[in-house]
Parts: sequence; C-alpha cells; structure tokens
Amino acid sequence: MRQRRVRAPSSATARRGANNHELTGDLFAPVTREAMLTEPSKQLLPMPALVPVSRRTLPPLLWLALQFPDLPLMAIKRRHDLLAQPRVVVSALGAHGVVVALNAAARTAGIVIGMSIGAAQAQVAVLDLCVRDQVLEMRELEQLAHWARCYTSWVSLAPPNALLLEVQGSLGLFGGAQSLLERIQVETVRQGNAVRLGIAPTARAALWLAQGANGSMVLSRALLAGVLGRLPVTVTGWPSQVLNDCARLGIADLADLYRLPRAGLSLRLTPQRLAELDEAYGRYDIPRRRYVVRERFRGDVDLLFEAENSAALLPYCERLLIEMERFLRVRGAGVARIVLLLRQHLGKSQRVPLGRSRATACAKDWQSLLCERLAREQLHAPVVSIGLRSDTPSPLEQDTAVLPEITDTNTNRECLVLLDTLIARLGSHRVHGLKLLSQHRPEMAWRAVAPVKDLANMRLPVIETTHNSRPIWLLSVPQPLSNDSGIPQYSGPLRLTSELERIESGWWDGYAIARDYYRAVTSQGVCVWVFREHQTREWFLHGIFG
Amino acid sequence: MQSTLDALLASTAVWRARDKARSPIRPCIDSGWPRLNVCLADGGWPLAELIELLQPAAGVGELQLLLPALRALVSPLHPAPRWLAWIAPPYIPYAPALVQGGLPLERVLWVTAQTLSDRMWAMEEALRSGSCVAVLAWLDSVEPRWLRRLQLAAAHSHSLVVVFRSLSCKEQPSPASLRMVLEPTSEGLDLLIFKRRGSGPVRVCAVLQG
Repeated sequence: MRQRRVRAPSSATARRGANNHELTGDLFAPVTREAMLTEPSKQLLPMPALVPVSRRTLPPLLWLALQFPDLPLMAIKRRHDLLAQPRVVVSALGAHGVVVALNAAARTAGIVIGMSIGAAQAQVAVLDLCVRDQVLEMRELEQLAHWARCYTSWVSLAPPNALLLEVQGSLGLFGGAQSLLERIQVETVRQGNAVRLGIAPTARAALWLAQGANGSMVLSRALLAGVLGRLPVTVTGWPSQVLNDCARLGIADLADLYRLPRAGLSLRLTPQRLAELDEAYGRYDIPRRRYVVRERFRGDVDLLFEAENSAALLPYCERLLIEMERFLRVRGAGVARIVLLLRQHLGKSQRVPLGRSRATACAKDWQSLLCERLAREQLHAPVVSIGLRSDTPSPLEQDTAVLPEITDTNTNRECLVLLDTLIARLGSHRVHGLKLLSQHRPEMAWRAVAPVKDLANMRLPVIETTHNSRPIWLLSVPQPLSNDSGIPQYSGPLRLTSELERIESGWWDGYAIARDYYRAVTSQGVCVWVFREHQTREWFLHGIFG
Repeated sequence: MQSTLDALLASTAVWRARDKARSPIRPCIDSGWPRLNVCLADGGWPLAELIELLQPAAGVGELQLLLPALRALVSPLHPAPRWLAWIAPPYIPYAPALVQGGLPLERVLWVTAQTLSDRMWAMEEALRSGSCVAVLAWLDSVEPRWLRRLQLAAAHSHSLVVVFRSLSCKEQPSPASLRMVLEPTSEGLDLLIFKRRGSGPVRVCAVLQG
C-alpha cells in the first residue's frame, strides 16, 4: 500500500547528524511514526549513493474523523420503534439529568442539548424520554466500525461517539479526499444517521475539526496549526470547569491556548490535556489502536435454585455449550479454550478453564471434558449463575472420511481427543511424552515433555545414544545400597555381570557426577543397573532392566 | 438326550475348549518368542483382550517379554499412528532404553495417575478412544468387577492390553482371557500360563532365551 524509498547508506552519517535529537532523546522534538518506520531501511545496503535525503520517505498518515452526535439516540432507536413524536435521550433521570441527544421533532419543539429534563418537558406536551445506555452506544459504535472498514483497513474507535479512519492509502481508490468525504457523508445520511466529518494529518486534530468545523479538510501538516488555531476551545470536549477557566483567562480559540507557556499550561490543564493539544498539533504522535473484529461467545444462565454440587450444574452447562456450538457453526469456526464462570453470592466467582489441543465447535466434545473437570471441581460456595466465555474462534478444519490417505488425520483427532480427556481430569502434569537429550549423565539423558500433538507427521529428531545397554526402568532418585565387604546388596548379594562403564561428566554446571556403572543380577534373577560413586565408594541402584 | 447334546454342540455359539480348529480366529500379534507363541491359543498375544501378567516384583523382565510385540505394533506395517500408553508404571520409562528397544518416543504416552480409580479411568478412556496400539497398565489390588469392565472396554479396542499385577492376585478371580505368572530364574524368565483360551495350564521355560 505504501511505497518506501530507500535511503542510501553513504548518507547515513549526514542523516545521523540531522536526527541527533532522536538519539539523545530530546523530548520536545517531534518523533513521528514515519521516522520510526524508516529506521530499518538503514539496513538495506547496496543502493546508489545519490538518493536525496528526505525526512518524509513515507506518505504521512491522514485521519478522517467521523463523529456521530446522535449516537445515544441511534443506540436507543434499535430498541424502540421510530416515532414522529419528540424524543430525547437524557444522561440520567432526576435532577441532574440533562439532554444528551434529541430527534428532529424535539429540536423543532425548541429543545437543545444540555437542557435539564424539567426544561425539556416544559417545551412540549408529550415527550418520549429515554435514559442513555452507554453499553448499547459502544455496541452501536462497533457496528459502525464494521461498516467503516469498507473505506480503509485501519479503523480506530474514539469513544464516546467517534471513529477514526486512516485514509491516506484510500485516497487514490476513492478519487481524492473531497470525494471520499462526500461519499461517506452521503452514505451515513442515507442510513439515517447524522455525522460530522473532519480530515487532518493527526487523529486528534481530525476529531476536533469534525467537532468544530464539520466537513473541513487539512491535508498537510504545514497548514494544520493555522486551521486548528481558529477553532474554539470548546471543540476539545474538556469538562465545563476547565473551559470556563479558559474563558476567564481570555482564551477563545486553540491558538490562544497553544501560545501560552507550556509549564503553566501543564499545571492548569493537567499534563494529559496538554498531551492532547500536542497530539493535535502533531508535536507527538500517539498510536491509535486498530479496531479488530473479535467475536467471542459469551453466554450466561441463571440457575433456578442454588446448586451446591457440581453435578447439578451440568444441564445448564450443556445448554450454554449448545448455544456456543450454534454461535460457532454459523461462523464456521471453533474454539480451543473456554472458561466457565461459576458465580456465587456476594459477587464471588470460580473460574473453570478448559482447553483442547484442537479447536472444535462440537458441544458434545466439550461436554465430555466438562464432566470430567466438574467432577473434580470443589465448589467453594453454592452457585447461583453460570457464565461461559470462549476464546477467539479460529476457522474450523473440516474432517473428511472419503480419501484413504486422509484417514490419518482422523486417527490423529482421536489421539488428541484422548489427550484432552486425560489432561482435563488428571491435569497436564500427569500426562507426558518422552524426549531424548544429548547428555551422558543418565538422569539428564531424557526429559518428560508435553505429548506430541501431531502424531501423523511428527518425528522426533534422532539423537545418537550410547551403545551400552540402558535399563527400561529408571529410578527417579538413585537408591543407596548397603554393601557387604565390597559386594552390593539388594535383597541378597548382587552379582556383577558386565564390564564397568565410567560416566564422569557435568563439572561445568554444578551437577558433576563420577560413577562406575555395572549391570548386575539379584539373587532372584532380576537384572539391575547399579553404580559406585568414585568419591565415596558407595553403591546405588539406578535402574532395572525390566 | 444324546441328540439334544449333539444339537447343542453343533450350534456355533458353543465351542469346545479342546477343539481349536472350530474356535474363531482372533486378531493377535506375534510375541517374538517362538516358545511362547506355540503356547498361546492364536499363535501370539491376543489383541483386544485383557492379558494379565503377575510378577513378584517390578522389573523381572516383563518389558523384555513385551518389547518385540510393541515394536511390531508401532512398525510401519501399522500405518495409522497411535499412542503407546503407559499407565502408572512403577518407575520412569527410561527414554534411551526405549529408543534402544526400537520404540519411537513420540508415540509414548506416559500417564502418572495417582489413585487407583484414576488409573482405571485413564485405562478405560485409552481403550475406548481407540487411539492406542497398546495399553500397559500397572494395577494392583483392583477388584474383579473393575477388571471385568476393563475387559469389556478392551473388547471394543484393537489394542494390546496388558495389566501388570503382583503375584498375590493369583488366587483372585479375573475375567482376563490370558493370565500368567512371571518367574525370574538364573536362565532367564519362566512363564507359568495358568489361564488361557482353549487349553490348560502350561509352563514355558527360559522364554527370553529364544
């Protein structure tokens, strides 16, 4: 999407001089995203040495802000029918409530934003009064973000009521900034939503432009300060107390504000608001988080009566799992991790995490795991409600039973199901695979690892092992053996049947051993592996040949 | 009377213990020990049936006995990769020795369940899942009715199912179709097969020597 011109290496010295402030960490120098992004290009070496040095090698970002002043109303509209009668959304019921959004009928009746409830009711005979619901508003904003992704891949939420679209890369496609702006305007109006727009090289400036000068565009950073300076301070949306203070100081627009000494401004406004101002003017870039469509399943169910044992929870869990399966099937996805929240009185809750080695949508698979897990779970207190939260779904691999060479993957699935079941009940610390290590010390020549996930294709690397035979059973800790005039005893005297094998290793890491290993036979005929410590001359049993 | 008995014997549901030819051929796996093979009803370790090995102590040579069969089960002739489940072995299965014995380590599933009920459960799951070529379990002091349950689960699998128990369990009834005592001797390992399909008890001497 972006083109990158590559800097010549020979000009790196000159550039380093120019960019010295970046290295010395000068806080007040503009550190832009472009500067950070071009950093790796220093490493691209063989290029002609005559490319001109420019600070801007990437096209700068360009932000389009969409502000939805009627968002509280839009969120409510989903719940109620559209009526022609005056409707207002208030911040809260009671004396402190003020109007935060209103429809056209209310506007013609003379109601304005910020009016108290009583004043609004005095304007019209019948007033439809709704309390704002910020959760619904956020959901509505996310819906709008989904829609906005048709204009750019980088949409960022700017709560409470705005979206930020990075449109530099989209200008070519949509025929320039003006055309894009008009297009979005027409589209939102067609959807029945009011919108305010602004385009600026910094995100904050775009938001403020949308607020204070709807439809204006600033396409270059050089012009930004001039345009911003003309905006009233109220566009910042700071609390009225701060704005009143500004008014008392005779500050009308942003230019007045920005002209003031920074130290004093930081004290008066708080450093955070100063940072907002700096961001708007492009002094700092504050990264904006991309909006990622992340859908997870959330289900909750209240129990009919308090459940004291986990068996009573199963039918409810089953219902939730079936709901989750439906949710996932529609999306052709599965999840590999879920969490069950067993809520108790007084806001306490117990988390039961469950994991599988492979994403699945099937409720039955989860249920069998859950049975095992819940049977193990001690309930701390009676449970009153259950919640189910899924991890981010991933696309589901489809099983096939048609082609013979693919049956392997089905076997593999069975293998994984067994693994999941065992781990769900016993815990992952009780289900192991084995791994060979390249070590001479017997106790370090192996390690317990997580079992292999992909049996069909996984082959562990072959490590050259010793040619001396090793016992199948290893004791986790060598067992000291008594000795009778130099002959080790293990339920009777041992008869050594092999040459000694000296293993002396590990002086470098603190686990030094110096042992002579022998194969020996007990009086019962059991073949064992014993060793004698060099230092102490004591005998130990270390393995059984089995 | 005679004809009734004849009719009964003619039924396919009845087979005479001595009449090996009429018994259905069951899947089995070559034990790798010729002297042992001839004593087993189907010519090798029976698959999908409970095999009970009773031993005086762990490590008398039980794995040397099983190793050829395990090797055959994981060989490329059995293409679908499945687990080799070890449930609650008494010691650590030592990886270098398993590699020397020709077992691929990536197939080994080592389950260290603590309580007996967990071991039983893990074994049953392993059998029912159908994803294990062999299930080796170390179960002492397990009740016969539980063994019966395992026997049923084993019948649904295609695995080599071996249960290791101590010698003291010999007198207990058991639904296992093959039961034997391992006796280490100076020549190697003697097997006393005291329950098997189709014939009476037999002693196999010095099995491991070929």
